[in-house]
Amino acid sequence: MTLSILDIKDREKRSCGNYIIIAVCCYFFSSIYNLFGHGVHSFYMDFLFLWPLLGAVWYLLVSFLHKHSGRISRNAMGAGTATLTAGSLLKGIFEIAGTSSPYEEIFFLIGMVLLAAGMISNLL
Amino acid sequence: MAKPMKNVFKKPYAFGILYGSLLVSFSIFVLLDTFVIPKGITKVVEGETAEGTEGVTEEAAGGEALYTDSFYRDDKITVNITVTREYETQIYIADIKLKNISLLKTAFARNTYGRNIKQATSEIAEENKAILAINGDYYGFRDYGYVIRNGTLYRDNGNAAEALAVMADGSFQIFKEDSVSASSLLEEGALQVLSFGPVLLEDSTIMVSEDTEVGKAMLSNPRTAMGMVSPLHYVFVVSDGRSEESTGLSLYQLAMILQELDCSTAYNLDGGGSSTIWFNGKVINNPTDGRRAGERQVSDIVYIGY
Repeated sequence: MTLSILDIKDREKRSCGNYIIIAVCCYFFSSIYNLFGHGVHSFYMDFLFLWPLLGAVWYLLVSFLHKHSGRISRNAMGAGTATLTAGSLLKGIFEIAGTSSPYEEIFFLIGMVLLAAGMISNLL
Repeated sequence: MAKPMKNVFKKPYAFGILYGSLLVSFSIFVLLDTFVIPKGITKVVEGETAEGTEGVTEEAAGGEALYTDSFYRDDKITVNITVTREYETQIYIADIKLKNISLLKTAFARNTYGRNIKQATSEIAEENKAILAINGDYYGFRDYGYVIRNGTLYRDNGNAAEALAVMADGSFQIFKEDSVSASSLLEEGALQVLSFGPVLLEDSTIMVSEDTEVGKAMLSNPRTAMGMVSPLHYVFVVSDGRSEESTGLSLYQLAMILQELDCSTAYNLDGGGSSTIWFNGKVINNPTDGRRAGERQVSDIVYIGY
């Protein structure tokens, strides 16, 4: 069985494309940020683009599985991805500056819960 | 009530706008909390001194002082400043000889312990009538790392890093914060504990490799370090960097310089834009963070004075 990209449903295709655009923006942002970091790097800043890329891969997968993604699941996915990306961005900024915040974990906790909720509700 | 809430989740953009606003607001709060909002404030009690260091007052200051742009001497303190150029970098070396360990002191920005309380090294030095001062470990930028200053314990929240203790007998002691408690250090006679690192020299041996760096930073940077030749004989080293005139030093180069100065123990302090050395009423190095010249505000200083 061969599946063409053309088989992807319009909505999922759009979502996949949107997430790829966000991933590219994140990649450029972290690259520019690193230019001013005096050589200091953070894993969280370097791989900031991975969260939106995960979203893109998910929608690609969903479309191949012919699953319908409802509004609630899409909102949860979007909110989860945004929260994890924001958390990674802040942790990256803090690591490069040589500091930390007790609030970092909140982003990752809420983000993972929303992302998981979005994925599960998508598969149901 | 439940229905409108459900509708928010179902509307294409309403939820996104609402959640996005909350996320941005919370992110701004976290940034302000980390970098701007002062907290955990403890005003340093005036006249607070370590056990065994009391009685060092203005009256007890070491008689008539000889003070030039590169030299200070009285009965209790001798400071000799030399400026050299190595590794395409301007390096400022202060050779210090003291009669009493109480003359090696530390001070907080605005005379206050806490996070995000900052002041220029020169201002803190002037307020404390220092003779010589360098920036400290910028403890207020982190929530961890022991803080013992002038014999008072301010923070006992350690990490796995190696820290430097200045002991009551004038010796420098290196220890791992996860292997000894701050209170036991205090009982053993630690007057100052600085938590930044890494350790540059221990038993006159270089403890960093050629590619060791603070948090994967660039190899060449402005630096601040302090070393002990022998108890009551110390060296402060500050280098310029990140400029056309000065490349900056690697930690290994810094360690080599301190070894050449006969230090047995040496410790790296906060560098980069924080690196500042102040003597005879002025900043003598060229502090820069690589983008703009001038002093960066810091949490604390190490100084020589009465």
